[in-house]
Amino acid sequence: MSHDWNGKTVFITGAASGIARAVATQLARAGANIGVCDRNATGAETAAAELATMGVKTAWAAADVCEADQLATAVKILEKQLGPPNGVLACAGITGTTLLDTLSPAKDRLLFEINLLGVARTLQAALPALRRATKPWFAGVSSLVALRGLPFTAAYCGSKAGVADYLEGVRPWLSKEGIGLTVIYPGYVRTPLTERGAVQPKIKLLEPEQAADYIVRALQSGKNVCQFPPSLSWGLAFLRCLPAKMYDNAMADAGKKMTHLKY
Amino acid sequence: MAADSITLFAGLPAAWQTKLAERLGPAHVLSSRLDERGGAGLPVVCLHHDDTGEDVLPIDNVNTAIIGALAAPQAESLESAMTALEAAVDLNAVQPIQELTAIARGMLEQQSGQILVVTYDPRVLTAPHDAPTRGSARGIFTYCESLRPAFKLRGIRLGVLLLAPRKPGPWDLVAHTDAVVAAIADCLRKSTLQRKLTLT
Repeated sequence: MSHDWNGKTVFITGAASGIARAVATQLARAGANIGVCDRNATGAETAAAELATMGVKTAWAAADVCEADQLATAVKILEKQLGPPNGVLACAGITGTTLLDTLSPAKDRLLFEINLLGVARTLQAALPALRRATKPWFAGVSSLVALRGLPFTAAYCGSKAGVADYLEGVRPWLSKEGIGLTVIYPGYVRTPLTERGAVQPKIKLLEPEQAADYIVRALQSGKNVCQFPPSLSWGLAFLRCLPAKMYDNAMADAGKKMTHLKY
Repeated sequence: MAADSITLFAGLPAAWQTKLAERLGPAHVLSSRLDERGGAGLPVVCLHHDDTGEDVLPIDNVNTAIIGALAAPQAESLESAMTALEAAVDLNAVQPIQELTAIARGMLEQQSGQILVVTYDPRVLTAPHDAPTRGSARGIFTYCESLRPAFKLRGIRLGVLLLAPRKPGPWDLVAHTDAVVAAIADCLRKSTLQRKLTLT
């Protein structure tokens, strides 16, 4: 799936802010029509209006990815205004910590609900519209932390790892229908999510625009997997090779250095 | 370890519970998922929620817990995959996390204990019908992997036993009772962090 974006239509969830918003901006700049979907109706409307100033068609719809009905309605609204989407990018997600002294199954459940089930629901809601499009594709956002569980963020890592494996699992079915699939594994990106997060890694955060560069390039060339930045991707790939005991020792040491959080 | 400390099973097939109790000694069953798994005539411990229904209350005096994340709802098509995934995430991630939280809260007080989570090895679940199981198993596995170093620093050993079926699901777990029970007992004895058991 190689794209000349001009005149193509892309629906993006979580597009009122963060990485999704940056991707929407780049695609609009390249001539793609954008369907903005976000839980935040005002944010979605504002984003759609700003993207429209780039001379492309835009539409917006408010939907919570926890609600299948809302997502289905949102896809219908966007499709009615823009036509069937050539691509759908499921970017909506949340972050959160899992600390031993404040374990919260409810908070953990919400992470799985949004980061894993939310992406799967988006695919489900978009399927009928994607089947009406030419050379359609779906992209779901996971995270590099899916490669190996990092300290303090068990449910976040679990939910992101889960969505990556689920999407890889259904890839043969999507492929059979001619629907491309890109699984996106971003590293740490400066977004409202990471700025509010309790875990602030001592590494340089990517700006959303840099993340969007990686994502748009991957979508452009129809990559199955998009991991970035390369340095962190290689680091996690290395950690993935470590035996469990060695990995635990390394993570325990790293965890103890996070002085503001009790490990 | 308290004198009245107990071994607890959650989300395991009844046949495994019976055999494990024979090997490990007296055990209790966590009641939250009894209806799905069937009882093995073992005493029952209830999982209690707080007033909001969202949080779970600690279960005290557990020294060893074995938690199963073994649901394997099959997806027949892309259309049915979502329903299967919701069930898989509930049974293999949300409920095990509730159980683990309730048990860990008691163990954190004692600064000791051992938890073994038994789930599927997502790396071998490549058939699209197994995608919901694969996603949920990867979720709980990574969750445990992330928490494990922190538990270790507090005196709690958390291990994961990954079952690797050789064929696409559904799987008859009861047929593998002897092999799985032996592996569980071995993991507990050696405090194994992570082990794969191929189901032949």
